[in-house]
Amino acid sequence: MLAFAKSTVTPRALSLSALAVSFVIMMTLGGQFYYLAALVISGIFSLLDIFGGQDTENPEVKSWLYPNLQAYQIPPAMLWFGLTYAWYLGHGDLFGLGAFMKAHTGLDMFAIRAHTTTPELIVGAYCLGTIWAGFGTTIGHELTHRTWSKTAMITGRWMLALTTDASFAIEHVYGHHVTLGTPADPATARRGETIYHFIPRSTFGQIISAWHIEANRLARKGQSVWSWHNRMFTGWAMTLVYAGIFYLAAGWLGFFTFFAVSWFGKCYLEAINYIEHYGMVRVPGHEVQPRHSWNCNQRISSWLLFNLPRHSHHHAMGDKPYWDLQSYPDAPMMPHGYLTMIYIALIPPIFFKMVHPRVLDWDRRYAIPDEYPLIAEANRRSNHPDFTGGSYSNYAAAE
Amino acid sequence: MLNKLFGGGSKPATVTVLPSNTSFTVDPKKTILLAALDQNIKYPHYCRVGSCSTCKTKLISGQVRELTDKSYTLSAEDIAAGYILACQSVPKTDLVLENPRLRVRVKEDQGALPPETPA
Repeated sequence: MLAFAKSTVTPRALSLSALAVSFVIMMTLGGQFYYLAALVISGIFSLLDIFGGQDTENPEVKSWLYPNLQAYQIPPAMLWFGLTYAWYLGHGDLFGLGAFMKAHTGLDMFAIRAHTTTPELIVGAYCLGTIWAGFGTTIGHELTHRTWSKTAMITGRWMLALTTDASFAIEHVYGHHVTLGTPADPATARRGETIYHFIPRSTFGQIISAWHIEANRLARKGQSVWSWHNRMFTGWAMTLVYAGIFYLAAGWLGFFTFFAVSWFGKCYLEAINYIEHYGMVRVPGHEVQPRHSWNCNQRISSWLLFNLPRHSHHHAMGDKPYWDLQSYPDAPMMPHGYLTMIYIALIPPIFFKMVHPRVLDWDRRYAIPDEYPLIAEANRRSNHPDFTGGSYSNYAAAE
Repeated sequence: MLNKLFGGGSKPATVTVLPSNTSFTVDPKKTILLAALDQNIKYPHYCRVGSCSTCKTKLISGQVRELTDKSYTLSAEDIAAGYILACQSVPKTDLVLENPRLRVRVKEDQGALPPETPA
């Protein structure tokens, strides 16, 4: 038992559990605690990320129990945060939640709601959106890859539906994992493309791609696109269930607030997509290799986002659960952690200045000759002087 | 209970791949691909998540449990012809498969698998 505790209850696991508990407390208490949660999410996480250093260790995980428990604690937390937020936004006592909490914990949610201000609710919506994106969709992504477990795949879709995108489970696996780095992939950011151009292009591109993939699957099975066999429809229905609960709690305000939060979360998710493969190219049909993702070993980003930043290994071996993902220190590396880069990406000139030298370095050190024509084409289309004017674009052409 | 959850049998299955006549055992709950890779057999593959179809293999005899819907990846003709995805198929019985792209049985002493090391 001691050996088990020693190998699984690591500082990492304990700090994550402590964080989960503190977020449950903050999001349940609502009101001014939303400010505190927002400060932690947008300030403290990034500061820790900047100064937390790197974690390149690849511990061998023998028991799945504890890391799995950590993954599965997220879905109920996501639903709880959404439910309490909707409750504070509304007026009645949805599902008897207020009465239940008062009777069993002594927490007077009615009193908290009476003092909750509109700015607090707006900040609470920001927290909910970022938490749904940062934790909900991250775990949703993790679980939809676990094809050996139906429970995981269904839970994953429900998590992705929080950000109005259960179809991510289709496009990501059957689209992105195959088309990564090629023009066919909506979720690979092009050279010179700003995040503001990428988010709508990628979002709608992925939905359209998912629809085609799903329609093809149904056609091969002889099933109609216009039926409940269509997972696009069941995915949207999942999102409508959430929206319905918000409606029950807070009427149309709740309904529209849900979609505002959900779409904001989706944008946040796409911001992560944006930085993960920015500027990379791959020959269609060639193997996806670790060099086709921007890897990131920043300790706090990896810990908080369930090793999603260990993206090189994820794309090379998409079937590995998060605790088996390795750090791949020789892979192309992102300059900072995810929790820092997504904010930098919001200011395109700074993002370009920071990342373009790395893209050019990628061309030199990681690209293979078959990719040089694609690099030349991507540079030409970038309309950005870093790629069109410099000496390097000629290097690819000369090769 | 676990077997029901993960869909494998309770005994290891023997899988034979033609025409190279490569044989290997697959532990319960394990996919054909992962079992082969664990035994240093260079089974053709790359995405490992059921989307690229590199590991597509013809099922000659035996039964498998398929983790995902192969209709996402294989054409209607391939499915009708009995193709499965090795990365998403767990043997329920001993199997005979056909995959002309699997040619050489790699020696046991080769060491780490190429796909297990970063390129």
